[in-house]
Amino acid sequence: MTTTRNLPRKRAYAPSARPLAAMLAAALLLNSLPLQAATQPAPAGGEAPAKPEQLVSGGRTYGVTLKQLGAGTPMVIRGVEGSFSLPFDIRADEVVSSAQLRLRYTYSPALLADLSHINVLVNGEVAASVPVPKESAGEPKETVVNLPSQLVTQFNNLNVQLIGHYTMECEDPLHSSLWANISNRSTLELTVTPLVLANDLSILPLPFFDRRDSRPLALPFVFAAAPDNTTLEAAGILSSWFGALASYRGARFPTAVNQLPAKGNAILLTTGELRSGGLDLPAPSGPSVTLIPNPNDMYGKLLVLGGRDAKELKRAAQAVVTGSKALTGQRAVITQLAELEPRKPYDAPNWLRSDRPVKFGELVPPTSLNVSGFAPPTIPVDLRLPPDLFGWRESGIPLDLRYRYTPQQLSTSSTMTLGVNDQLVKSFPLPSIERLNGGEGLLAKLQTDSSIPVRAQMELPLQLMPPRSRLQFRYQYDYIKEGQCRDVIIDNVRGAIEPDSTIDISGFKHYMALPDLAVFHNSGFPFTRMADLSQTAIILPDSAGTAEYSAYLGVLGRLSESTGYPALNVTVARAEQVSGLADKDLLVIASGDNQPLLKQWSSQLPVSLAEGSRRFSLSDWVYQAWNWVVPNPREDTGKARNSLSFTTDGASVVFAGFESPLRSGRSVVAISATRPEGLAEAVDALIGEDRTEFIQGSVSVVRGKQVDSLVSGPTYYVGSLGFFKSIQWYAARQPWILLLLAVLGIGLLGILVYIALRARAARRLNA
Amino acid sequence: MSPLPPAVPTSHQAPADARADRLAALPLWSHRLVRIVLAAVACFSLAVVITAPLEALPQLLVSLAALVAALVLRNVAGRLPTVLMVLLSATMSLRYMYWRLTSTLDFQTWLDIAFGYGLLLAEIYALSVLLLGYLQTIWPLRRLPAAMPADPATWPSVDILIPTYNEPLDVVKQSVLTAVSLDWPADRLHIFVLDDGRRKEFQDFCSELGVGYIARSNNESAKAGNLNAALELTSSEYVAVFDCDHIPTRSFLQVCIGWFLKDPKLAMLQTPHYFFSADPFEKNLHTFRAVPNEGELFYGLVQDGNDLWNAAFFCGSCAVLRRSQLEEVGGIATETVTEDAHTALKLNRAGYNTAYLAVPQAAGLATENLSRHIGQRVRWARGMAQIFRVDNPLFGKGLSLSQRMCYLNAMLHFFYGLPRLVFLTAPLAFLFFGAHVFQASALMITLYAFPHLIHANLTSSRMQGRFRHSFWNEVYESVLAWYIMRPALLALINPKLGKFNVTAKGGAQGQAWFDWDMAKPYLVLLALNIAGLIAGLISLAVVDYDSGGLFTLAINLAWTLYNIIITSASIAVAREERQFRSQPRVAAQIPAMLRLPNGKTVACSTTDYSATGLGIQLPPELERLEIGQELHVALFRGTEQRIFPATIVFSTDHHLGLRFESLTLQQQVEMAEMTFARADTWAENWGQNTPDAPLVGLREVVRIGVLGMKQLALHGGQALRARLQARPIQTRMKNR
Repeated sequence: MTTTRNLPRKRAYAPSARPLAAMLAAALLLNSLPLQAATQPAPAGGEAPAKPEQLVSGGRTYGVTLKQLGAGTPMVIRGVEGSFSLPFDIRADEVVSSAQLRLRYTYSPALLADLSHINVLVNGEVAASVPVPKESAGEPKETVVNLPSQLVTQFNNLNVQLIGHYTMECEDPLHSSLWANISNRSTLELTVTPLVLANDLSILPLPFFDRRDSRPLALPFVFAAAPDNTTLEAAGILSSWFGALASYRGARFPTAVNQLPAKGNAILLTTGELRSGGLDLPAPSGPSVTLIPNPNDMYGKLLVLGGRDAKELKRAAQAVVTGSKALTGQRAVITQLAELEPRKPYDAPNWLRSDRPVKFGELVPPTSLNVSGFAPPTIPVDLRLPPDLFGWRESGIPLDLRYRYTPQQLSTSSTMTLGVNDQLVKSFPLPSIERLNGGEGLLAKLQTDSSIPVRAQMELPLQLMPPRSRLQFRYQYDYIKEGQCRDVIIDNVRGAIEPDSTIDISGFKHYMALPDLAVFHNSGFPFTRMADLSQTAIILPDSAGTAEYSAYLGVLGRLSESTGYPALNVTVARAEQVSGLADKDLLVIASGDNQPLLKQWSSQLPVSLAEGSRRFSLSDWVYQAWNWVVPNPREDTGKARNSLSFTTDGASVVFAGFESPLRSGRSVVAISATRPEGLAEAVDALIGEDRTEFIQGSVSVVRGKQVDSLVSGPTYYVGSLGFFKSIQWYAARQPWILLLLAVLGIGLLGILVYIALRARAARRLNA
Repeated sequence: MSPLPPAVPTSHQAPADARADRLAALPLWSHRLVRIVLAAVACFSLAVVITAPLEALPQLLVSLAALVAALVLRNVAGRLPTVLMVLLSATMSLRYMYWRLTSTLDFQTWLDIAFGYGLLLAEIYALSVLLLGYLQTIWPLRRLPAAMPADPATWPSVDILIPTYNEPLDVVKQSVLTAVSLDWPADRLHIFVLDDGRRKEFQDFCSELGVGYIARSNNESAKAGNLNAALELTSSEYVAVFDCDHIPTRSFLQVCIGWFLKDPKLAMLQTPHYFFSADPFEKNLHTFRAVPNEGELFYGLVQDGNDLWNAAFFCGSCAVLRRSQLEEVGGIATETVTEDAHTALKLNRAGYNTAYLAVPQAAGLATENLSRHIGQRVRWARGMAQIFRVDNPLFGKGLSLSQRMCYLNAMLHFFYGLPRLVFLTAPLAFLFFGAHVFQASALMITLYAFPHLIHANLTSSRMQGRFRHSFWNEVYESVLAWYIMRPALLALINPKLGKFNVTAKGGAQGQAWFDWDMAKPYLVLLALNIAGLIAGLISLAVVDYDSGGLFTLAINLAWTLYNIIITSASIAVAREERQFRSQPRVAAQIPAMLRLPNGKTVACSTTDYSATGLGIQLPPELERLEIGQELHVALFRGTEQRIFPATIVFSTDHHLGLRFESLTLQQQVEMAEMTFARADTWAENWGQNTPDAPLVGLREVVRIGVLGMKQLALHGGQALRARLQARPIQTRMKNR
């Protein structure tokens, strides 16, 4: 069986071993069928582009690797009937005209060619059987398998199955010579024909975002005129909504002013009539949403948000993100908008609630908590924790785990392993029936229900739990071999994590040391503390252009990716308005020299961003020395490089975090590019795909895919610990303060006690 | 100047406190509101100090700073440094306990849980007793005697009650004789012997001497009943109670009654019990007059401390009570076997005052062997547990909080049996079973627990220095722990349970012998601890430890070694030293004159005296006197002179031993006046032991421990040989 590693979110493949009996039947059946010549060997290493004549106008051909579909590693299929499956989806506005799988694989030389083969199944139907001839065994091969396009629907399952036999005699169904290796570089090549969708708002977010499409989202925003702050806020609401929807795919929002894209979809924001470039829209009579075709592309759509002024535009945007289900028809005018409850801190839908224990059933669909087979795939439970959980002198996160399993007759070493982010936390033995010394009563129970629930209460160490964590439950059943010809595998082993299992972070305080760009990168913290960004202000340069708008929309999309909630209450402002925004966390966007705030605050900045002067306040050694006396309570803070070669030449972007000069306890994150085009890199760095280095520390310099980070500058704290805990925390880091307090307390109390006792003694003696 | 206050209160205020008094006189402290605010600030600061968790290094720094502070403070005389040391020690101990409760209880196995929580409860008990003890003794009141009115005609009448049950006349006689010589107007002094044994010779003796004799028909409620019966038949304004083996000095009443005249609400005044014979510890460990004995802490410090809080309690003897108030609470309490403490509790509840005067005005005989000693302590423990059950000082009306705390500690103290045994066996849980009773690294345990222990010891040493030496407490408590545990706990469950009878073994013991019966529990403990030590050493040699594990093992081994020393010191007490005389001698230099039959007189002085004889230091160059020769000896008190006929029973060039053969009753009274009844006899010796030095105390206890091992080897060898020779098994093994 394979091991799974580094799976992207929301994707999994499922290799499994089938029982011998079923396998034999299937093998015989298949054996009686002639192997169809649906396969054709491809020239080694050669690309086989789809035939251009298949393309319809507007259609396209694209390939996705199995890795993109979710196979993090090459897949090894073992056993007489091992298999794996991967999902692949087709966009709603496309139909597949042809599909083929470019299969790269290697198989065992021990396989008997006349019995063994590799089946490729689409949605459970065999698309092709690939023979495994002896002569090419053991070396990498590549075959193109045509998949009948009528089998491909919108949601699909690609299954690869090994039917393997090594002997005609009695065989061991789990024999180690039964293997085939399918490379995750195998490619699924699809040719699709576009569909013209109806101009109906009810399909939103289609066609702008289609969850069946696992590619990064790129959605152009078009402003009819240079946008003011409120219009930008309206755009931000939409971009953050799409960012949240795009999730792991990443979302980018190219921006244009008064220029429609030549192809594809776009969002258009206008406060007046549009009569040019093929558009014919009257001036909006109020907050309105319209879905029209892109005049430049019959398959593209435009979502037009209109209003008589920017405020109405914002209402329209709010209506789209909060009530898109209720919008129907081609055009909707928003007359009434339901007031939303104000958000509470840390209530982002994607984040683990910190006000009560959370059931697993609330986090993942209960069906995904069930697995079957001797070595079933890992059950993942993805968690997003508030990044500022304060773990100092706390025990771990309480986990009340209930799980079920099928007790084996004899097994001795079956386990259920709990891991976090591929690190082992605990292994639970799954005792066999023999070892369950429950006696008759328990056995009787077993007969009616082949699973028994087990409860385990434990604590997950907080230092193992970064803000984006995945709990991994893996059942591994021991299979005891009975001996030749007596092995009958019955596929009755199951494992399940009860949806009632809970995880509880309600006992933790929210408090952490900033600046820490790592939490900004992975959680958007501290801005995402309020999921609607109501305590966030984005400070754009006065001379902002489309690059800055794109960066702004991209960053908001990224923040909402973390929270899963649109930025309904974000504030956009310019440098001169900043004094009124003292009570907000500020996200400052700059390119070149166009942000006066950074000059104004240059003394507070951990790094000088002005051209020419490159100043560093390397207070790092003090920090390090202090760390030796009082170790850092959160291991994951402050592990950045302390040297940095930094030039402002070339297109580089600097992320800098520091405490707000306007109010202590408030944060500023500045994103500054040397040139406006560089800001696109900032969004790329935040989305962070295919990167090994991430933004962290208090300053990060991004050049292409390279990220250099530095910890410097003073640390400040956000959040609150409560009265008692904060005093403890303070005193624990200041032993000298503790001594002073002791001297003060004992001295004062000593004199007071002395006076009181002396007076009492005098009273007693003069009674 | 010694930082320790003198043992007997003196009238001049210690100059050491002058500076503290100047500080206290600052106007800052004069406003009540300011004081309250400052106290709140101080308490808050200390709460932070107690609860602030520290990593190893800062904790070490803080501990070292605290240690330096304590070492400086302990050498500064006066009461303020004591108060500061108490607060410092309490802070460090509470800091330890907070850490203990919050960071060491994450137990993984049932074994750990059982041992771990067991140890924790013992520690909580010990900490409570420590803190209550601090409260109790932070300010010994050091009350001075109050002057009597100049005119003796106005002095009140007093009944002297001397209850007896089965003690021989010889013992009781001395008390009665000295009672007769009390300096008090004769018409207002009434002496009564309360004989529950209803013995003819007692009645005869009393009538011959002209003192009252009261016997009742039953022995209901033992001593309490005896006293109550006498209270019905007597009528003086005050009642002084003496156990029949306690000998008052002539000044007793003059010293005590003054306070009753000054404070009309004073219902009881207690004076120390002073013992002129060695108790089993002093006798068997040869520490008489060198190391303060078990009782000295109580009378020297605890009662004096209680006095501040108006919670000094009656100890059954050497005390004066006001009859009217005593009768108001129903006489002597009869519900428990410690009627004395319970009576005081009732008096306090009724709103009356009790007092303690730390001037020894009476002396008595200590328990003569270990088994009797244990029997007596068991009775106290049981009685205190009974009071805790039937009349708990925490509840009920009439007491102030501080009184409740003092009484609570007096009672809690007697529950030390089980915790003490837990401490004596705790490291074995690790050495035998590998149980981790602390879920913390050995380093952190050391860094938190040692300051707690060191400060507790330093502070106790300063407060108790004259009355209890460091580490001796461990020996005293360990010896009694096993015996005291059961009765105290049983009495807690049901006050009627927990009776414990010790077979009295001989008065005068001609031979040294080993009390195997009494030593049994300690032999078991010693064997367990030695086995633990061996198990630990073996695992040290065999198992490959990491540095943390090694440290844990080392700590447990050191603890076990300490336990072995304490246990074997306890065993050393079980070797009963032989006792030469039936009448214990009191060392005293009294001017004397020998009148030889040849008419010659020799001016000399006594070295010691007893009820029946004298030791004489002869001047040099005197011809040797013959044994058996009769002579007269004159003793002086000031200008007074009394002459007694005596016989020489022992003679060297410089020493004579005299025995009185046939003194008349009048001569016996005079003899008592010249010896036991001298006013200053006991006060001179009170608290005059070497002041404590903790390391010396430790060395002494280690020496005793080694001695115990040697004796065990010696007597054990003999017992083994005796057994091998198939003789009947004897519990008293002859020594020589």
